[in-house]
Amino acid sequence: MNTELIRNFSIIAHIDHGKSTLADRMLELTQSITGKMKYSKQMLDDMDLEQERGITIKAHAVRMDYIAKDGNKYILNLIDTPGHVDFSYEVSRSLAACEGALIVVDATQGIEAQTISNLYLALEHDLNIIPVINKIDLPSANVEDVSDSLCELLGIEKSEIIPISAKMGINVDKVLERIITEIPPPKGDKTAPFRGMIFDSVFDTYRGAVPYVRVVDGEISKGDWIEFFANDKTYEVDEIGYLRLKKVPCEKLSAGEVGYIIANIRRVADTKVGDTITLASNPADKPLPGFKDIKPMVFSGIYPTDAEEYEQLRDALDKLKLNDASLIYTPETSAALGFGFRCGFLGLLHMEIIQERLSREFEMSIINTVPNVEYRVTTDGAEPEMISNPVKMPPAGRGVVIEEPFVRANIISPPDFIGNIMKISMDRRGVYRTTEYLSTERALLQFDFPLSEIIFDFYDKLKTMTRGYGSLDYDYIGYRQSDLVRLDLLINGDPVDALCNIVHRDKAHDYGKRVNSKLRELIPRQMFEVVIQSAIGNKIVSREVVKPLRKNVTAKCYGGDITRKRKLLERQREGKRRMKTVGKIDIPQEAFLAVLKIDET
Amino acid sequence: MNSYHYSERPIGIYVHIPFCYSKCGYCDFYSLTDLSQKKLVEYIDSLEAEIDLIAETYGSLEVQSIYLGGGTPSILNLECIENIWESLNTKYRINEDAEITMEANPDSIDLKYLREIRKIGINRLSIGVQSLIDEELKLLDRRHDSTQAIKAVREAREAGFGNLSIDVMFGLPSQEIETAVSNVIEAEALGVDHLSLYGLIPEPGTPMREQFERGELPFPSGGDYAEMYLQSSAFLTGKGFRRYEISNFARKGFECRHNLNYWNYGSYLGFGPSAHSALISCEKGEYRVKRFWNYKDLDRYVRRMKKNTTAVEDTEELDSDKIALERLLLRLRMEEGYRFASDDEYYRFMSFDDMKSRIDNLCDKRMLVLEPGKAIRCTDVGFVYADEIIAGISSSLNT
Repeated sequence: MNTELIRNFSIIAHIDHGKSTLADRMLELTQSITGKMKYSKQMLDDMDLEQERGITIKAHAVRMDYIAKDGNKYILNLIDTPGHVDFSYEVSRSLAACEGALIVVDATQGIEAQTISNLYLALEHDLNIIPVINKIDLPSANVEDVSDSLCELLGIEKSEIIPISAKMGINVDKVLERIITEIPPPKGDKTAPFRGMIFDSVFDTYRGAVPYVRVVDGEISKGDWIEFFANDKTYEVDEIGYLRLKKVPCEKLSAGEVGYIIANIRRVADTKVGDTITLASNPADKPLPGFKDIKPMVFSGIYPTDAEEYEQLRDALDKLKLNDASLIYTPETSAALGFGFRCGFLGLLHMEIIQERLSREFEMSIINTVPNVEYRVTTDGAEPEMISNPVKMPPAGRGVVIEEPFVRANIISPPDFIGNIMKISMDRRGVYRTTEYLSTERALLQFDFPLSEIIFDFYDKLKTMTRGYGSLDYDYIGYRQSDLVRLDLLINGDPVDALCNIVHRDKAHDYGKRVNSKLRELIPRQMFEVVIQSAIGNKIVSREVVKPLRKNVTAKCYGGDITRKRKLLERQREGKRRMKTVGKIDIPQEAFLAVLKIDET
Repeated sequence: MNSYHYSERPIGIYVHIPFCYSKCGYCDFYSLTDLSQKKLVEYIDSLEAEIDLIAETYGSLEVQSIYLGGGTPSILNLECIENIWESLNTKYRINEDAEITMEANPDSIDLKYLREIRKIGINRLSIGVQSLIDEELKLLDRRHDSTQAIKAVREAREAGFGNLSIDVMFGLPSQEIETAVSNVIEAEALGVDHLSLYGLIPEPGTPMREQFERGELPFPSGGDYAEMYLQSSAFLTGKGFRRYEISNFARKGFECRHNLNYWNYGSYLGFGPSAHSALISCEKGEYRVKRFWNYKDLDRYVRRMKKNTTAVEDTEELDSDKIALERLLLRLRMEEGYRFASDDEYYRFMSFDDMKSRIDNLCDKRMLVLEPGKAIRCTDVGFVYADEIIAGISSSLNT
């Protein structure tokens, strides 16, 4: 394979800015899709969830053959990137597999924070950037302003930007030509020992974990024995190939190419994204740079609604883990919820995806506790301890130092909303850093935030406060000390472990008050008074009471129609069964999650 | 023919008589106000056909009680009553001492009529008195007044009814606690053997429900409702009545055997539109229960009988979970409570998820009494929360 005729590239775009549509057009123009295959609207997103949420969750790759105007037949490898901050490490690995990237901006929306973050990532990897403005056919398109922003951001001339409409197929051919002329062919030493970088890995029920690799040096063939730098196992290669819309086996892959390797690898966790594959017979001395063992950022308890389904839940998590290396879980018990698992996720979206997959693919009914971050706790100068379950947090006291993860966030918005953004950011303990103007219409604000403050509903809040114009992206920057306390929730004096949370001391009272009043709404009246309290140690910071149930004599004759009365009881019983009995009180399962959704105002 | 050994115990028979002079706003039983000769004749003919048809299927069963309910059974003339009685008597083995009840409204009976039905064989009368306050009777759309109610009870005694029951309601819109209780006091003073004390509930589908939903009916608060029940109940037990079921009070020996059969999980056959039947067997503590019921539609019922087919709308065979639920539901409404057949059953019951803590909690709050190894039963106050208690316990029931 002549590497001069290969182009490896990604598309950087915000959700809904048209990445998938553009990819589809390119597939059509290069005849990669035949008529029959046009059944699904967007070819690259193949999980149900992805299509529904309109985001590409897991990166994929596709190879296209393109005959350029110079008469040569080129191989174009489009490496897709996930479009959510939870997966920024995967994005960086996908970009590292490319020599260039298209940056696609919606002419009606302008540049979003996510796009800028990914653009910076691309520039870090020395990628050649081709700027594209999409949706120019829409009446609300503002090509001029968006062009100005792009010029400002990239330091380029307006003439370098390609205005397109992926939907109408306008100028997509120009994009393909520019890929040929502006993105350099891959470099790499075909004679060096084989090194392939894993940029994604999928799980196939019959064939195990299948890593997708960019070959950097050397070559690989069927029958070779391979090794990984991040684990010490050796595997025999069963099949190699490249990706069209399906896998196409081939004899060998060499430097510059993109493809897949099947080698009976049992778990996706053994094919970590960013890891380097080499040959057992002639191993490279050094891995490729950039590998990180990614760590979960968000933790939550997951419990089966029906205690008897604990084993099923474990099986389901085991199966999910097979194709999702970033999911971690360990068994835990809760007095309120019974046996379950403490699970770690890359972020909130990842958590929601796992929850949905548990319910859709495994038909599990689960309760999950309020998600939290992982804290670093040092007691009396001893070795720091990582705590991911709030219940395990020691009571506040002298000699206890609690640190929490911080992120650096970029927020882009029209300047009119800067006041609002300042306000919500301060409410979330944000530390203001800088403001930059990308154009007269777009300001970029930078803050440092405790991750726990922005992980849940900050983005929604930001959207509301900026009438939908604001966008957000962030990077993890490390642990910092904060004045945090463990806030216990007590029902009739008994602490409910599943509702315990870590909050900033200054916010404990307000937070406790909101949780209590939310619970008061959700806990149905019972035969006795129910007292709900929030407490820091022995100090009660807020209190609510659920008044007892009104008496319900229903002394009515029902003659021989027992069925009707029984059906009524069955419905009542179902209602009761959806509750968890905690300290003799029936608590509806929604209550455990509702605490997430408490309104701030 | 069938696999149920239900005939081991004598069964109950219910006959639904779906006619009324007018509909009361609170009533959700099936009845019609078309009292034409044609309808009545069709009905009686069909009823006889059904009695024959069911006897062909299940054989000549032994009967311990018959209940003519409605509707307003006392609308039927003597000839009709006699025909029904004849049919039943021919096809089933009715015990010598069987309890034969008929419901009657004070406005549709007189001494002569009462004497005649007594002579036919009716030996228990249940009179729909409901209240002894005229305004309340109007509110309930009843056709009688308090004077007629008092007269009806007196004449029933005169006609020779030694087993006499009346229905009394409480919890009417705008009713005060004192009014409700004094109603029960006056009713007891009429000198009856049995009293059913029903709380008025605006059932879905009734005109009263619509009024209630429009906010036109100020029902008493839950607390007042409970007070009415508890005070009335205390009064009646003080007068020597036993509350053998949440809403039924009887002097010793006058408990309604027909209703007891429902609650004690006995078999019964129901004839007439909307009537319910249950065939229940119990072998070594293992119940088998089949329930079926007729269409709530007289015309359809008549057509079916002309074709000599049953008018069954639906049948259900209960699984063990539903059986456990029904037994719990029925038994916890009775004074005796839910009784465990064996130590084994008791320990199994108490080992269900949360069951022990739930029951301990209810006992702590004096809602429930646990007789270890024997039974659980509601206390006086527990009856007030019976629905909640039963739902709670049933949610821990894991069958």
